[in-house]
Amino acid sequence: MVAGNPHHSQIGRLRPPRHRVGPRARRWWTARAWLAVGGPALLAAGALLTLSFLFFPGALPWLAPLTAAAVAPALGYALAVPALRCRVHAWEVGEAAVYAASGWYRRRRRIVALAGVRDVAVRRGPLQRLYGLATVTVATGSSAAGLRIAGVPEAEAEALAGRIRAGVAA
Amino acid sequence: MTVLATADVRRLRYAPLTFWVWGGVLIAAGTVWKILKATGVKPWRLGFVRRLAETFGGDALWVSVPLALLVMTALGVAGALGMHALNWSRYRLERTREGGLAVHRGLSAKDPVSIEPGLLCGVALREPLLLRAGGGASVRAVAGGLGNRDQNRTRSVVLPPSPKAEAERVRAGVLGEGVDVSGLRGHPRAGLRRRAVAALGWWVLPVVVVLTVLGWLLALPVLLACAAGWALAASPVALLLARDAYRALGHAVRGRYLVVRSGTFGRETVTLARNAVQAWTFTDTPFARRAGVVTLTAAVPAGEDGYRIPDMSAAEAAEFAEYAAPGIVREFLIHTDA
Repeated sequence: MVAGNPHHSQIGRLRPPRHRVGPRARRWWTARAWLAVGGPALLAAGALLTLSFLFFPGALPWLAPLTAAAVAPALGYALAVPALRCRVHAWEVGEAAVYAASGWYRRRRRIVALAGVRDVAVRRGPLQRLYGLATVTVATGSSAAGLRIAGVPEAEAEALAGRIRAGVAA
Repeated sequence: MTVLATADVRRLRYAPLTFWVWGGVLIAAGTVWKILKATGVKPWRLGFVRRLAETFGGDALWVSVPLALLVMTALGVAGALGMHALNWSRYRLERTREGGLAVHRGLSAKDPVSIEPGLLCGVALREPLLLRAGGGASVRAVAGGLGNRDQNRTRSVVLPPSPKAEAERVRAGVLGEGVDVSGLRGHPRAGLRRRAVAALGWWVLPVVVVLTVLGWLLALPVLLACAAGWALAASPVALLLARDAYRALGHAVRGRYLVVRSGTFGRETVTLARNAVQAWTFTDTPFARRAGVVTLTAAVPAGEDGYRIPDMSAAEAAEFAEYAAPGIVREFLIHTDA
């Protein structure tokens, strides 16, 4: 037997999931990136350069470019990653499976058969609550078949979890 | 009840074919060192350690270093043989009346590891580098209900390192049928390039960069020579390993089973029951997308949970997933006429 679909007249490709994340999710990711990466990096650089300016002004010519080089990746992350995430993150509940795409560098598209789903939960982090968002998690008997759909508007999250539960029961 | 395999003294010769021969000695030495430190004994104050250092240290390094390696290897081999005897004496692999498996093993009279028929999802034939060089293989059941990941890794071993033919016989016995794992579909050439780039970029380049920078900063030309030497010596090895890893890649559907092979240091040929697959994951990076490859992961509720098919053709991946475990990805496919 040869691997591959015997019907070679048609080639199937995976399409992106239907539901894209909204602008609120983008704002949440932006806030998270600045709070966790961009902000601390800027603060540390600012403190370092201020201290240097006050006490060792002679060090500034080499310290300033070095600090800038160290801070640049963090700023790049905070500026670019939320947009990259928005382009990829999406979800869809089908008849027999639930499909989600995530990841800003390593793109991960996972399709989980509803038949194997054991647990569906809606979680809200403190920062997510500020933006009215939630995360829907789907667990099965295999850790490689779990899903975390982040950045779903709170109102839609319960409906999404309900649709997955209904699909599992059916 | 059928017996699939029993203890065999001749298997001992495969026991030392692992890098743990050296790793185990280092770990044992580290443990002894810690104990000595905790008890306040200073090893370099002991008389025989001093005499050893005076005899072998210093001027005759070209004798003492190979000698130390030899002693270390001998200790490691002895340790590996001892561990094998401890873990695998009185070994017996049985198929129970209910269709599950029972693995009796070890000197202590522990209960056998029992694998329920419903939780057995497949078999993994493992050929780590050294064992493969010696023509051996070991077999693990891909099974659930054996505890957490670490416990699963110890308890799921159904055959210790053995001749490859025997490993294949046990695989067929555990599966209940012979599954042909030859002639797997290979992966695109981009996989070879990606492996070569990774091997050179992660193994050869970092050492060259560090040595060059140090040599330049400290003005030590000998370090630059070392960098060149390392690049010349390590590059062919890295490329050979990359080629070996690429040639290992393969996947196929064989009857009720999905067969996946990959790896060079830890080569594994996994035979998974198609109906046990619960999810498919397609993973790629911008580089993989440009090369037209994707890593497909089959999720099963057993063993390592996810089994990867690395760097398969992106054009074939979705189709293969649908063919191997129908119904999961079907509604998310778009069909284009070829």
